[in-house]
Amino acid sequence: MSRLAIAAAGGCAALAIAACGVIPGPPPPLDANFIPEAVSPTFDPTAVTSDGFTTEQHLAVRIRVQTCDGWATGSGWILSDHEVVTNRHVVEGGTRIEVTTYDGRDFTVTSSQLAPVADLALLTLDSVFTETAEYEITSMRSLDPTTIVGYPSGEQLVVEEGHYLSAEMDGVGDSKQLVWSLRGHVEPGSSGSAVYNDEGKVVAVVYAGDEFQRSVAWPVVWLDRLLDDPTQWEPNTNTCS
Amino acid sequence: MTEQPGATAPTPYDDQHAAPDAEAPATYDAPPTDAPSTDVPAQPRRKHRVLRWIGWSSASLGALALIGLCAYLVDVTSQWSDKVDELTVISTDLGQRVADAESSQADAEARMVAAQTELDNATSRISDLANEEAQANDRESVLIDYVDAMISCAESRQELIDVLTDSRYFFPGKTSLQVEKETTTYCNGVSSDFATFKTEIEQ
Repeated sequence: MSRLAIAAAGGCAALAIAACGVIPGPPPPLDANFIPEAVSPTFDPTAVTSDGFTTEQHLAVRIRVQTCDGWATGSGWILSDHEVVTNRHVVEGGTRIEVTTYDGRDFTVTSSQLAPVADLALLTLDSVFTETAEYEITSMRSLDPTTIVGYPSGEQLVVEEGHYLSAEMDGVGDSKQLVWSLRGHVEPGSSGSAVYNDEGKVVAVVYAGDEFQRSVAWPVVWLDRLLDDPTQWEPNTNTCS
Repeated sequence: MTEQPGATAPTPYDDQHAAPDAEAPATYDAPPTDAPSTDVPAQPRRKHRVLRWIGWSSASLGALALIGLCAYLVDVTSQWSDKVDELTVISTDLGQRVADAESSQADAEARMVAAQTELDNATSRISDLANEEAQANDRESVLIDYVDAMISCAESRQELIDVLTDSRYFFPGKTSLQVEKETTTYCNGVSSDFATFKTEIEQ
């Protein structure tokens, strides 16, 4: 009997000691501030332009060319504060060349030079531009995204999303050089449009297209060679009688 | 062998047990010893008292412990209750701030959508105006060309009139009829092209 009582008392004591482990303690003091530190927004105000147009749109120009036989329009892009790049066939033989910016400002070209092989031309103006494009000599892979910015049919500025298809022989001119085939709709008037990669760098210059949403462009490596050696440029002359 | 009346029948083991004392308790706990028979019940009583004392002490201690535990739990419960009240106030305040922030966000988003719409309209209008100006400049270039062509036509016809009205003038290498035919063809072409152009711009 006494052993049983001692055992029961010991059991109760052990239970009581064990129970102490689950007896709740007093609440901890409250934090001074329950609002966690928020992650700072990643908005970069320099990434947007002040007027709702993209940088690519700012850099696109419409080109009007007066020739001996009439006039024509094309597209181009701003290379420096006084230079615009377009196609050779757009300005060749031009007697008066004007460029119009995305917001309707008109400037007259003071001189123009033509590339000997690639369908490229360099127009020179007074120093008027404040934004300039960056070009990048790069290799593209199939389906890499591209953006063509120009003035198809000489009308409103159009941003055409597309992608790179392949490198192929120049099937429009007789240069027998490799040019880029792109998926992207262009029309007459788009010639000279800049082709941007997904980093916003100019990688090619459109010079032709077809009705199957395919366009052809000269990679900017051809422009870079001419800029490195300006003596290769040919003067743009006209022979109006 | 005959049994004596009144006598109990001896069990087979009776002769192995000592004759019990009539006053002794019927127990085998304490074997018979030389100690006096009055000492045998004293030890269990003391043991009982000790055990009882231990039991009461334990019970008292347990009761005290329970009272202490209860007091502790009451205090802890009170602290938790106070903390719950504080947290309720804080959560209510935070909820209000969240609601205010959501309201402000919704308002800002609505304003942003409106501003974006206005910006889209403005950029679209700028594009339209730039395009209209470019088209107007294009038409101006064309019209200047037509004016030049018409002036050329008028000068050719004036030359023709001069030749036809003054016998001193002539067209070297060509007859007046040939020149008149060429001039008429040229002027008709200009007129036809200009009519086509007017039709295009009117569309």
